[in-house]
Amino acid sequence: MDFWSNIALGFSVVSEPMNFLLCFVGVLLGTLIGVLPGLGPGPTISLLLPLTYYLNPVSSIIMVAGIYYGAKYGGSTTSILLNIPGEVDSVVTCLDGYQMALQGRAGPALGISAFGSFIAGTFATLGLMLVGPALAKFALRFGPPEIFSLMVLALTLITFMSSGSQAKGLAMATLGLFLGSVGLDIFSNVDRFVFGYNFLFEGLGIVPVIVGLFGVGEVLTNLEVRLKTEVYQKRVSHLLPSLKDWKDSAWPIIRGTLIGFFVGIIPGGGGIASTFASYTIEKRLSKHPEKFGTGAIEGVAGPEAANNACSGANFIPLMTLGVPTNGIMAIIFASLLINGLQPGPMLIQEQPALFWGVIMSMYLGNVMLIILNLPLIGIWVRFLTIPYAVLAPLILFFCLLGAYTLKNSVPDLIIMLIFGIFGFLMRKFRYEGAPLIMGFVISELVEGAFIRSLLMSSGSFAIFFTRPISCVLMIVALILFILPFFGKKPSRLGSSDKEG
Amino acid sequence: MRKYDILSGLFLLAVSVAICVGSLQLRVGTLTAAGSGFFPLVTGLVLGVFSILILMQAQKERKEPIRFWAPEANKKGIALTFLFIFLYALLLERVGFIGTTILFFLLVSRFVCGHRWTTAVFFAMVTSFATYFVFSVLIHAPLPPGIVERLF
Repeated sequence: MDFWSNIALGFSVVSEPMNFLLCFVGVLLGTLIGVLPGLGPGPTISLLLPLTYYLNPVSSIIMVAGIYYGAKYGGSTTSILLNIPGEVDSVVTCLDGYQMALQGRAGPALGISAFGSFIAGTFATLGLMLVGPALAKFALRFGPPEIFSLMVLALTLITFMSSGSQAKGLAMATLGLFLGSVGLDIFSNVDRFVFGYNFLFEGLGIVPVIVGLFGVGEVLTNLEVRLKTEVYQKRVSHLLPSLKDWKDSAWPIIRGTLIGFFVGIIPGGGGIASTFASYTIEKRLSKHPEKFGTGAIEGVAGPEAANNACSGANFIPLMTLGVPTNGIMAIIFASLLINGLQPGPMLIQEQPALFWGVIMSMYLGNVMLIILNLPLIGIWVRFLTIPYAVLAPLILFFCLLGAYTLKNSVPDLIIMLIFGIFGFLMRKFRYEGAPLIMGFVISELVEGAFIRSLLMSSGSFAIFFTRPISCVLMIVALILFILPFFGKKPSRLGSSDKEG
Repeated sequence: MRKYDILSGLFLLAVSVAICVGSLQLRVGTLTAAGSGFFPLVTGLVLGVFSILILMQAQKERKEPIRFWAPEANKKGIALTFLFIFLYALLLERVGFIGTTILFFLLVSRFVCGHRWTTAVFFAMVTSFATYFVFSVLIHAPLPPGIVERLF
């Protein structure tokens, strides 16, 4: 099919009433959880994973994608109004957004944030549409050694870009790879590490592991400090930015969009990395850098655009190479697997309705989001009055429901509880959950590619270095692995999932 | 973080040893004919290397007094949450979905979140019946039946 036929296919998919409705539900939920501090897109999507099992794959991915990019829009609201990032990628928006609100300019800050997000989100979707199929075509040349090297690079990148120790990140990724191998061996059909428990034959369930680590772990972390919600009582008005605001913001939005898009394509390139990069560049290029941190609109426009472009670009490696770029993408990867789909270069060929339907839903979702985030901002501000004490039992209950309903299995509840405790301790000992989840969901793929590569090479590891693409990927992974030992690791970057 | 990194490094090292021992009890095979224990053994060995790296890095860190719990941490709430989740798993298929959910909500709302009994009862009833309706009636997902469900 040619390009225009694909676009027509995408429109026909998204114009189906169910898909249209679920796109709206996704962006609505995304905005809501973006607004509510203490509940991020990661836990929310993981809680909804079992529900996606009952929907058709296209509809469920449209909804899940909507939650992801919707949360990016909503996250700026609390950053600007309360100086509390609704989700971790909106931390930078607090710096100038909150100062603008203190000066009575909350309206233009929210307005430019929404417009910037819309422009960036639309551009990123266009990029996905143009780059995605070409990249997938290129990736079709990949054999098992290239796939293995790509996965090694992805895991190294996500730990390299994360805020914590790389050794800790890689240890978690490796532990994830091991946990993913529990159950029946894909090659010999022999059970591994099941200890006589029948429920482990199918392996540890994706949903209880993710829900435990992200959902229960996050609630427990929040409960410890008894997160209190500050109530915003001022009225928000004058949302449309002035001509001067637009003049000041135009270039930051363009630059932020480009930064976010390119950072988003790189595995490990989370929203927070792009927002910090955008903020730093805008401050450096500004004629008045001293105004940054005191309410400069450029400090809101650039990072917000970067954040939203990044979320759209994150779908490129997932849909075309089968590489989840961060923890949330790993959860979306899991939701594709639950629906019997294998993300990767064949996805576009085998499931054109899914790929083009999701792309078109992103255009639609961006339009819905600008409507939701501008005229309806007053409603979202009201949600800021919900205390965490009301949300916590609900989140816990949905964790239980999510873990149980996929297989109607009580042992899954126990697995969820164990991973909840593990997730809580990981936060305490400063380990990140994203590499573990990534390792866990790609474990089968990594094992298959590794063993097939060794079969191809008669047991020689040189195969990873004698094939050009694989060699380049491996060398980059090795450089990234070695760099931190020479003090070259980025100090203030993080993966884009919200982990509390 | 030094103390915590040493503790976690040792824990991961112990896990890696356990994985290697477990893998060796399976058929490991050769590089050209890998057995079911081959991949777990590789992950166990790699995990061992990273846990040693964590320990080495921890040795270089300065000793800083870091407390495990935040000031005024809600330790009781966290412990009770674990207990109530365990209780939920234990009772779900014995008591049924609605009964267990009502009990879970009552306990968490009252003893973890500190809501009044009336609020806790209201939340418990609304959430459990609404969820039962959505899952059982709208999307036909089977939920474990109990005394309350048999009334419908």
